[in-house]
Amino acid sequence: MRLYDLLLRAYPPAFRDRFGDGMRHALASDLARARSRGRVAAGMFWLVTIWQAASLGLSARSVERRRRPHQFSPVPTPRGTNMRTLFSIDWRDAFRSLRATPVITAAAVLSLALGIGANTALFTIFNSLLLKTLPVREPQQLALLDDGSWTYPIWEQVKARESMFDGVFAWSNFGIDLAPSGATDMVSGAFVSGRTFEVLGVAAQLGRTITPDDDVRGGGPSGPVAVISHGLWQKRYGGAGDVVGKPISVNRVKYSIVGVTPPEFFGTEVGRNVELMIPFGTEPLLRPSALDARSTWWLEIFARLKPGQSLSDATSTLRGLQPLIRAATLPQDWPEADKASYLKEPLTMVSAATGRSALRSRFEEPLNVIMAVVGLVLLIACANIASLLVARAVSRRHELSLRLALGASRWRISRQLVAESALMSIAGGTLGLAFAFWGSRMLVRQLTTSATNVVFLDLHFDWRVLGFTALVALLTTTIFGLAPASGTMRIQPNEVLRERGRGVAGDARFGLRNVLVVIQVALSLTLVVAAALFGRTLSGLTTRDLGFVPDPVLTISLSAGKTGVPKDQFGPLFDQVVDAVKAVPGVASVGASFTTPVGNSAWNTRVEVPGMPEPTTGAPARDGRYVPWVNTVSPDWFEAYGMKLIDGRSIAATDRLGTPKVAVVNQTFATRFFPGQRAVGAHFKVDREEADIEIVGIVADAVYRSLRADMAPTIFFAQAQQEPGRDLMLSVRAAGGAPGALTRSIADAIGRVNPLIAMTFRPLSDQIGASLVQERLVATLSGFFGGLALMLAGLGLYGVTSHAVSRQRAEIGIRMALGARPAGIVAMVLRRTSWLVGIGVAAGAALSFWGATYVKTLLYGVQPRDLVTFVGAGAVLIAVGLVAAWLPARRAAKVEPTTALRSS
Amino acid sequence: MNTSTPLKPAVFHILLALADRESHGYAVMQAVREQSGGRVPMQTGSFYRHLSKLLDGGLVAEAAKKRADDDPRRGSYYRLTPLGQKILASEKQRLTDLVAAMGGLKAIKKLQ
Repeated sequence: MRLYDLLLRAYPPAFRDRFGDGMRHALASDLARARSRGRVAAGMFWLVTIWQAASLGLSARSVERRRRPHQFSPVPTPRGTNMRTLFSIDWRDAFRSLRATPVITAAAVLSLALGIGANTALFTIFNSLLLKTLPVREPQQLALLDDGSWTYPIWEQVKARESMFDGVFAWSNFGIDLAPSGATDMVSGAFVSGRTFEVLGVAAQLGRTITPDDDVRGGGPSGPVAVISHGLWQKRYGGAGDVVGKPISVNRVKYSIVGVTPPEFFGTEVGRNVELMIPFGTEPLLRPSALDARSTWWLEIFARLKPGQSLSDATSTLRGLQPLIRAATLPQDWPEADKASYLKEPLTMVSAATGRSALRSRFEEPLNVIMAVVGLVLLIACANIASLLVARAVSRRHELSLRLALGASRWRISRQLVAESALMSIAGGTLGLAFAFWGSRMLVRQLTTSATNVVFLDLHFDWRVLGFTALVALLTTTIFGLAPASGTMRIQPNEVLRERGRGVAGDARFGLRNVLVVIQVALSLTLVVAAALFGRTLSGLTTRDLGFVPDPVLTISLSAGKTGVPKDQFGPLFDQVVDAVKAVPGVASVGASFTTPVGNSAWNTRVEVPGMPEPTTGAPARDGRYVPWVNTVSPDWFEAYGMKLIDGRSIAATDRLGTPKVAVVNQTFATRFFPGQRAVGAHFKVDREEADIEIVGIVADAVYRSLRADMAPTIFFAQAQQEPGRDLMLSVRAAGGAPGALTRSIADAIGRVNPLIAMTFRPLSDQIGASLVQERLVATLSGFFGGLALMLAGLGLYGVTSHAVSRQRAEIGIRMALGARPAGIVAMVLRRTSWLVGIGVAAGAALSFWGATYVKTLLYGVQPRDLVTFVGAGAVLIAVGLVAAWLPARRAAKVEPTTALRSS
Repeated sequence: MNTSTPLKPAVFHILLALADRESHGYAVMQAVREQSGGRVPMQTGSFYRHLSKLLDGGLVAEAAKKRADDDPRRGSYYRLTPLGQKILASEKQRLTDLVAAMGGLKAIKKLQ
């Protein structure tokens, strides 16, 4: 459903019947125009449209009403009502009554919109990540071979037994470079098996999909073919109709486009939008083939269940065939023990109706935490609104009493109050939806860390999101609407009318407001504690001593796979590249290596050290602390990273193939494997290798893969002593300024050496920043919502105190006339508030103490029950509370006793 | 609705846009935006509210026949009724008189 169809429902039915078509046309045309002028214009369009629907739609409804015979009477419900009038609600009265107190109404609607908006935004992401089914035919029938990582030989075995199911297909995500030469142009791609689209039930919107004929090794009769996504078709080809048959460069190999998938199709992984799909059969054209590798686990196997076939049926059918499948694909070179467990490991089918998602597992925990945070914010907002409305109800006691005295039933009056809350909920919910629309998109943009890791989620509102928002709005109405309504049940018109606003403290409803304020303070404290914990985690990670200086270093990932240079010439080719990059003006130093810190690839190995101490627990082979990380580096690499040599020498230019193997190790390695002795000069062996390796130097510890991990033992081998591979990482330290500025001239320099080398540039600080995306997201959001909660709690306290003070004016006047000093009055008011804040802080501290353990895994460098954080958060709340109470207290102390007494 | 002059600027512009041709709603909105150089804001919701009042007041009516190239999704076509034409003409006259009066004022100022 389009959003504006929903908005049109705000107008009365007769109006809609008369103008619906024209309005829909006008809105669609205006929306298209606004979109073409950018995000801001589109945003303005929605704001104006929502506002108009809310204001004009409702007033049009009241005009409609006025046309019908309608008699206003001070006795709203005649005696002897039928059910229809009993439940009919006078929306117009409710609307007018809200308009009479615009500030309170606006404050309440805005708090509500923020609360509902934050919840809906998060729920939209939840929905898309966890609940939405794949946009394919009968997604409930899709199943996945658990846990989604299999070898190609296993797939061939499953495919040969396809009749077990209603069809099977294999899928493997794969980054694809579309640039024919020079710098890479990465999009997200996938290998698919021949019947993939047929089994999924996805038809091409243009051309055809991939067929079994295409999925043969080396390419089918049409050669290597590719199917592109709707998005790629629009972006790169402007949606041209003649795109079918055009060539496209896939990792520098020419494919031809045979079709375009429909717009809603994004692949099988939620969070990733696959732009280009090619058959598995063409994989050998692109890289050293893994099609026959029996221990390379790189693809997912999906099946469509037969009608009536359940997941457990499918699993048991598969298990019957398991011995055959396993035996035919047994990796021959594995140790016997591993072979035995390979044969035994059971195959299981799981549902794939919602696809699979790496994003889901990565962000499930932080999303849960943020969901809890926004839930708390909503509660605080509710408490605030309830407290505003109670205040409003209290000041309307006179009006309501008059109505009661004239014969209106309490039921009728309560209904009116509930109607007011409902109107506010509708307004807040609608505005909240608009907040959620932008909020969810902004959040998802934060998750995207690089061009190849674009997070894509389908964030359209569906019935679940709209239902969720409606439910939240309904719940909040109930929560904050009941408080004032219950108050009216107790009004004694006689007393109230006599009282005429001469209030005294000790009203029962102050009790309720006090409870609400205590709840607000407690929940806010919890959010402030959470924000502080996450903030300290992030700042701990960003200011952590990395062991190297990340700025200004530019990393360049090089691949010579498609240059046509023979394998034994990769070494000299890369030497030329390094020399060319060194000669670029502005480059201070250039290091070559297997991987870069906090990079995408990692390498570890077991080592044998003569006389190595046994670890205290577990076998050394399984204890991560005794399996060092490995990198291979060129002589200048340490210089490029600013890493300090502590002992011995660095890797030298003379360490080449043919000379004795050497290694530089880090300090942790030296102290762990050579405790109490000098490591330089010592020897060790690497798993499955004969050669003795001599340690020639020790460098200071540095982060290898993750900022959260402790410093781990690391070995640096000489790059020149390894068999040269087709890929290499360069790290370039710029002489000054932003390293990104060097991209252009370095790309030219490398292109002059060989134009077919593929290269991807990325500043090191980007790479490090990207690895903290989860922490940054949690810290930013909890900080934002913590601040919001603090503000709401402050407003709540201010409201309750100033209301109490204004009702106590007479009392304060008498006290002052009897000689109380202003300071005493201030103290009296503050004492009351301090009690509320004190109880709230204590309750909040208990709540946080209990809740903190749930976020333990998200923290770094700070204990979940950190005393400083708790005390600090408590102090912040007390400070906010005192300021909020001091303002009205000071006003009270300035009361002129004579005026106060005369006016009341 | 109060159809006596002076008319609200938006209403005046809508009548003006319908003066010499029948059109569908969005075309009228666009015409108003252009005529007024964007000075009269014309959003879908408010436009149709004005239109509904004009229809109720008998100044505007739905056009009976539609053009051959018509796209039904645009909604109905509208035209001025004789009453609408009369009111538009009198409002034009009123505004012209006003402008003339201002011209007279200027002339007096020049004399001084």
